[in-house]
Amino acid sequence: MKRLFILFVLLGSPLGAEEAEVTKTLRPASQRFAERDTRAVPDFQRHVVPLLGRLGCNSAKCHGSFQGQGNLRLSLFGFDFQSDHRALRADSHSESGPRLRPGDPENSLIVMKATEQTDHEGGQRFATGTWEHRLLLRWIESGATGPVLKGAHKQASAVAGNPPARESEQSADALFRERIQPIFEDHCYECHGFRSSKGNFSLSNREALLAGGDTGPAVVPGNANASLLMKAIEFRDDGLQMPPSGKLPSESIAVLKQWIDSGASWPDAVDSSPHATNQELVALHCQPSEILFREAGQEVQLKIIAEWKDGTREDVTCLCRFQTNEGEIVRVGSNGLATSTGEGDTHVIALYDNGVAAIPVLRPLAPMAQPNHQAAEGPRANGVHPIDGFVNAKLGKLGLVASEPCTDAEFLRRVSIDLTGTLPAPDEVLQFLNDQSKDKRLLKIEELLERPSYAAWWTNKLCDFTGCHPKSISSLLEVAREDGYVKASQWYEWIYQRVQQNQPYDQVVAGLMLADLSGRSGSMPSFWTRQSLEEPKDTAMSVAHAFLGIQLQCAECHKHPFDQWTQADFNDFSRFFDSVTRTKTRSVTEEVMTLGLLRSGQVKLAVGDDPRKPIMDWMQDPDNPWFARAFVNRVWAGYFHRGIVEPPDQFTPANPPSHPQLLDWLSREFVNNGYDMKWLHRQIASSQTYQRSWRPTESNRNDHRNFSRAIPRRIPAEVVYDGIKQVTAAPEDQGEVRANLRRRASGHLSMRMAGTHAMKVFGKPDRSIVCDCERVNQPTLLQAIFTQNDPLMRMRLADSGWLIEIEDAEEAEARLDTGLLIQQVWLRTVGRMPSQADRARAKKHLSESPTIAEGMADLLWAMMNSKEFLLNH
Amino acid sequence: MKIATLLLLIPFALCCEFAFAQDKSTARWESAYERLLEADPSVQKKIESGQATKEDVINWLKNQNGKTAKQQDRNKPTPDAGNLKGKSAFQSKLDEMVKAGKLSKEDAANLAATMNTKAAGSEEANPPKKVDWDAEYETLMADPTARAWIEKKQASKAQVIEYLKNQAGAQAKKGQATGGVKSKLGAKTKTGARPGSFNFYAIVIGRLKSKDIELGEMEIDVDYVISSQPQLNAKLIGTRVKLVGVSGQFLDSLLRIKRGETIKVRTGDFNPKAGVLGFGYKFHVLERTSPFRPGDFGVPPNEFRGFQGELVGKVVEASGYEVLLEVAESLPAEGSQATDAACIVGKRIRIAGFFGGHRDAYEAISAGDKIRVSVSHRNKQSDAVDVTETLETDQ
Repeated sequence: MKRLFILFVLLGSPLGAEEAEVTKTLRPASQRFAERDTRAVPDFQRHVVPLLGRLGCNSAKCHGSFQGQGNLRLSLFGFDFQSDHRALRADSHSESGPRLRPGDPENSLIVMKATEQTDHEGGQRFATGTWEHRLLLRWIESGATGPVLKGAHKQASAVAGNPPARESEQSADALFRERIQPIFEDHCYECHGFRSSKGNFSLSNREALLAGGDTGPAVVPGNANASLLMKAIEFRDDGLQMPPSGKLPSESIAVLKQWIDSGASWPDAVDSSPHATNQELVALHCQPSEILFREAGQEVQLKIIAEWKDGTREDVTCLCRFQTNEGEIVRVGSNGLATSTGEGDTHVIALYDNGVAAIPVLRPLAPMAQPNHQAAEGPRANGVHPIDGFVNAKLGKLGLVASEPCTDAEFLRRVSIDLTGTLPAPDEVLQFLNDQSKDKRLLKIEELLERPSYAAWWTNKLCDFTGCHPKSISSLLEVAREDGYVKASQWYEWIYQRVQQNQPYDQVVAGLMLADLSGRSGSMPSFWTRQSLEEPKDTAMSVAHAFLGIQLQCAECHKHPFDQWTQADFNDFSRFFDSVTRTKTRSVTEEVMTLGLLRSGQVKLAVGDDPRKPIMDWMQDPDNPWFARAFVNRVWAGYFHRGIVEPPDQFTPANPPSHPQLLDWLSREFVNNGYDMKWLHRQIASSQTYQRSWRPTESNRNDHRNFSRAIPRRIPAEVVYDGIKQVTAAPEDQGEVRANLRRRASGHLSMRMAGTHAMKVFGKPDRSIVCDCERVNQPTLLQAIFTQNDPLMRMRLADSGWLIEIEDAEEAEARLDTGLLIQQVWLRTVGRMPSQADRARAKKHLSESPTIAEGMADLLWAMMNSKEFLLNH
Repeated sequence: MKIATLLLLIPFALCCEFAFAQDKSTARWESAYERLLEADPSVQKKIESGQATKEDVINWLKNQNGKTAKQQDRNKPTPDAGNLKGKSAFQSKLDEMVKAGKLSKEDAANLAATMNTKAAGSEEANPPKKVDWDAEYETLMADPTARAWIEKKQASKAQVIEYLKNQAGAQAKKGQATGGVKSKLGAKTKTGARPGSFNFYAIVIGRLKSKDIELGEMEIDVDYVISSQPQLNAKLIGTRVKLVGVSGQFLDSLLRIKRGETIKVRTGDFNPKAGVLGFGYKFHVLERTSPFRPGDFGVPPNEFRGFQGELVGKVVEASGYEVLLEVAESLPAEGSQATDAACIVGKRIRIAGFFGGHRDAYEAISAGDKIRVSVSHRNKQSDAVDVTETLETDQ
């Protein structure tokens, strides 16, 4: 009864209602700030910056660009609260007055601009009287409080509207960073910055400052009055007045004087990375957690709840940025209203503060097709291959009918290319087609896995991911000789041996990660000693990309727009590689430090520790969210030309997997099977999903992401090169051409041939950037020109051992069976028997050719120019 | 009986050996004859038209060889005999060219003088070598990759020279370097050559005999070599050498050059034991060129060596950061060491080093342009004349 009474009291009181909301979920800002007389005070981090982000103010096109716009520069996507707050508080040069007027918020420049009451290149961002307008007004009139940095004493809650206590004594470094550098940035760097030094005076560092320029030393540390800089900024000398645009505000002059008098301290390395605040977003919750549409135009309103570390929750839907990964399936408005536009599945992405939420969206085919496949959830349910179980389950949801199994000829060619990077030999095709055993496909997979070309092809791929590039390995004096190629070949060979022995993947990576940098004891140090890794950040990006499928590049300069990584995360991860990158001879911790491991815990390093070790330990942890997944996904992409996460090296919350359960299962079982690479290949290649025909059904013609059919894709550059050679080789050379890895583009030649025209045209990666996108498998016009008349093609045909044999036989007047010759052309190029129509056309052409050899050269040329040859289908 | 048999067998064995030697000798002359036919179309023309027979040509070759042998006999054997031998081979090659009408007597004399100068230089009693570090620096900067690297590292000229000195020191101490001093440039000081090889930065011109576009190898019948090692130049000219180490985009160039065509290629090292040249990445030269004619190549005359000053003339060819200039005007600067700076007027001179500050202007140059260029022939031993400050194109 007493409890009930308290509840009534709370519900009856407006204050009580607000407090109850605090402990539960705060109403959205769009409601709380809709009225002018609200008592709520917006928080800079939770409300003001997200609002600026949603309005596009801190985008790269506007104030988020590195140059800023109209003297206002904000951090890109609002990752640096401190600097953003400083920027908003800074004096404006506009005639319209200061950006913030706490006593007169309506006339604050940021409000006037956003409502276009004064000229604004970005146009009107919101109208007066809207909740956005009122939110900003309320923030300004309540003191325009900034963020509270982590570790700083917070005297009063920012939500309460009181400004944080100003620290009475600032350290010299902090004084420079927080007060002096902004003045230099705003008023001096344009003429005396890092790239310009008017009057031979630069403010790039302390030495340059003290040295001064043409008029002498600029600063006398400890004596502002005697310093030329003060003389100039105080306009004491008519001939030397700085800045030329006008005298600085007296507050700025005073702080500069204070700084010089205190010794003009200038930290050696100014830490420009943003400081963490004391507010930490724990999670973004979406309601609904997934959207199932039934018809076009159907709408669903999304609701996004932010959960903070202090336990508060708030509906932040109105402050989120929304986007969709496929506009043909769903459209989403800035208010979070999702509208169905087409059939299929995708995700809506919501971005707020440091959080990213992906909401699955699905709209089945209408009317639902009758599936021709067994849908099953979970491994081996009903005897169905686990991969097929997961894939079919989703196809069932979508109402997609999968394509029929591919033909034996298609399977053999496809699996030979995907597993071994090699076209099947004519005899092999005939043998496989004539084999009547039921398990011949499984047996073929096993046979291919034992071939050296399997190890060569997947070594080539591992070299792609890890950046084995001759030119990036070489040092200055090695460019004049073949050291780069020698080392790259050693690197290739080192991986090749391990793949051939089927060593567990994690051990292969451990061999690279923990390599003895002296190169002793059979280790492979070249991954670390690459000259292209000039800074620890380069190494950090390379490791994250190669072994975790993560792109960290964006976080080097600003918070990753679609990921959780901040500059602090990036910098911490880079510091693991300080020693190895700078010395290239040792990887040793030189001072005790604690580093963050990509938001997966802290690592304490003692002096003498190898910082690479905890990273490898972490990667080998079965719970590591990326290590096994990244590899599994890349192998999957090797078979389907599309990863379960696509692109395969972009594991971000904004780029969720198309089949999360499948990826989880494959990764978990890959780890449970001891990181057995052959197990993984076997699982994928033996699934029905992999063995589907490329011929679409009525329902799956437009499906490119659910693996309901094989998507024809251009064969990789190395396979094109090797294939052309194989097609034109004499019968007795077929074995040598296929087996001699020293002369295979997917073998050792992958290093020597990098950068050749053939490899460039067909998109072989140089392995010089950390991106899987470096390999391009798209067809281009140049490729057509290449196969038509490149000197290499002409040379292969002119030197073709097979054509020469035919020519010799013709000259010796030997009887040639043109039917068999035609069959060979088809078997060599497209791995199937020619159809009746094919035979008839080919025979006609041969009969019209001056000689059979010439006619056969034409046929080979024509087939190598066919789509069927150039595509893996 | 046994002794009689033995006595009979000895002359027989001698006869066999003689016959075998004769066979070998015949094969050698046959081979020389084939090479001459390939090298000199005029000889081939004479054979085809019946003006000369194969026997005539072989006899002529033998005669030339005899002259060379006699000339060699007249020279006292010296520790540097190999060099003289090379010189004679070069002289006989010149004679062949003159006889074949491929070379004027004047050009031959100039070339011979060039060789004499080089040989004379090499016959000096190995004084301690004074290294022109400025020139070494320029040479290193000539390599675009090295230059890009140095610029990236923001290494000063002094640092680079320090680095080169360290390198030279390490080489001198260790012969084949196995390690060395670490510098700002970030690499251990090592020799730039492959194992068993020494640095040999040269331009080799010859006919492509065979090629392997996958392993990046080729065989060249060498017509001319330009480098600062005249003995080696002479040794290589007229021989068939293997060149290895071609990779990347240069494989495309190799693919496009047909067997029998003349190739110009930059080398980086030479393995004397295997007789194998290594491809050099300096200037990135591997290209098809017109058949070799020494007069056209722009070898500086003896009197011109040591020249410093400006040259005005018409561009005949611009490739591989080099210009072949037909000189109209020669303006020696103070300090020029050329004994006859004007002797170059009306002749061709090859000028190298059009990179760095000259790169943009060089890219705009094409055959037929009239240019004014300041040059310096720093090393009299070398055939290389380098551009210095000025490069102006007259429209």
